[in-house]
Amino acid sequence: MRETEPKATTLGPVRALLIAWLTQDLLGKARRSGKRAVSSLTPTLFSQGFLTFVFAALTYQDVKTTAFVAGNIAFAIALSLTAMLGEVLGEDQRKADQDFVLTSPISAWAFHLAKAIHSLLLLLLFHLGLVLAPAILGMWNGGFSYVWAIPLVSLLLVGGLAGLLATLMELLQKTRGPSAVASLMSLIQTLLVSGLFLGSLLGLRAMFQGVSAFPGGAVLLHALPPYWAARVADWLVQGRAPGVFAWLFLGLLLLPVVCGAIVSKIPAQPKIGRPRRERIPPVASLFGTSRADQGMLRFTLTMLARDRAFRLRAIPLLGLPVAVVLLALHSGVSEKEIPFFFALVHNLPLAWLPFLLHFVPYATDFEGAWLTKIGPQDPLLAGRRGVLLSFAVLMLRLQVLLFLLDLGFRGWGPSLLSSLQSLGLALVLLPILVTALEEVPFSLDPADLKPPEMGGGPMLLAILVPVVSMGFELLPLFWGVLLSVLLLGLGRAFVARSFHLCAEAP
Amino acid sequence: MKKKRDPGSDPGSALRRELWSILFMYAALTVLPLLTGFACSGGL
Repeated sequence: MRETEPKATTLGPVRALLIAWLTQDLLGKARRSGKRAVSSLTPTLFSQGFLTFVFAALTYQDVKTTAFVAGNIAFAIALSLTAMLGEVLGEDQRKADQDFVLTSPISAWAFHLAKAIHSLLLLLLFHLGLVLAPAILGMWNGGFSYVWAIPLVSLLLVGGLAGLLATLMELLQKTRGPSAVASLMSLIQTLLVSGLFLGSLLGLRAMFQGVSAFPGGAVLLHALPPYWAARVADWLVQGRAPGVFAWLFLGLLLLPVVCGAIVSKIPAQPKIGRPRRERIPPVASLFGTSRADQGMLRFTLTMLARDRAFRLRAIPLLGLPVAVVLLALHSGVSEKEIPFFFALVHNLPLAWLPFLLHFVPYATDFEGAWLTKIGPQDPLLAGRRGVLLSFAVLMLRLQVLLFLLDLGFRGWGPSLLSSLQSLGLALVLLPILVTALEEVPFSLDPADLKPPEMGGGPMLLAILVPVVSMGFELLPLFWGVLLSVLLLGLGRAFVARSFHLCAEAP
Repeated sequence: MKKKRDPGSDPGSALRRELWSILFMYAALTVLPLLTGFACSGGL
């Protein structure tokens, strides 16, 4: 009878928790969708590892060793933190822990030990894959010993930074609740996405031309943790004195431990603010909305603003266009190119819209979709109408803001032309774009999220929209404004009468 | 008679397979830069 005893009973609590959590992390998504064991981590690891390999291959020759190590560590850490932020510190696992793990007879010590090992193991498993290529190419750049020094300092640094982030999230969770955590995570992901794009382009230039080629110069670069890690690696391999940078590096590693000890003493008392009543934006009446439309508009705007799943996925997407604008401003746009630059800036929100629309059907509170499903209208059509009106209102507000910003650079005429043209084009295209919504908005579980398709229609739109707007910039001002006003009128009519357009299949 | 294996008896088997595939990725990510380094620099 001894052989028939289940083996699981012999597992210790820490090991059992680790196996359960890692199975959930690596195979959970595939198993929930009914597939056999197919991990999402392995392909991500290879694709991102390949990116770090390309970055290291571009820089391992003709670049000083410290710059090579610092640049590659920064690139790998930004990739790791972006990929892992939602996974390791995810909200779903917290809920599962509260329901199952915290109610089981496991000691607090075993739970926290397992939690710490699990977070670190997952992060290090992923990050090690990303630093392998820089470490190996580092042998040709600085010497054989860099093959272990680069992974060592990089893993320590990413562990320290992730620990610091986790502590900050814990503090926010305890004092402000899960919404504040989601807001901060989406903000950090936005900064990482834009920082990764901007930093890798500016960083590549600085690695070849010297620190003065980077905005902020040596002062800024030396204040960043990857530089401290590079100096520690130099010290480990070459014996070059790291000075104050070793202490800064050590301090960064100890900071999460100290902060974590302080945060653990703080009692959990999330302050939940009083719900605000969402007003119907007065501009909505411009589109001739009915009472039912106004209801859908209020519901959609509220969900777009407050749902954690949408914020967490949509806001980081904005990082890339922001980085493009910052990069263009930094590179010094010449006076001749300014109209084209602003034409691009005014139209970026429209070019980016298909990617934002992709996330609209997913919501943390996806059960809330019953609100639209019990209505007298077809839920999908009503949902599309709500999304259409919401994005029309948001586009209008955004173009007013861009007009005010543009006014300081180009004066009344050109900025008015760009704003009217961009808004007109957006209103004409919006009824067509929303037909791509094939599910009722806010009705799907974010755990079942399908990645957006980056090719086809969205890419064509992203290319065509700036081209059309640049054509408007080439027209004489009078004709440009006249055509833009006509386009705007056409767009307004499209949105106001788009109920039937929304019904058409994409 | 051969005993039928209970699929729930070893909770870590799928995980072990997954860790092996990650190790395989590590190997691939090690070979690529090694080949690049040797090809472009003619040795260490």
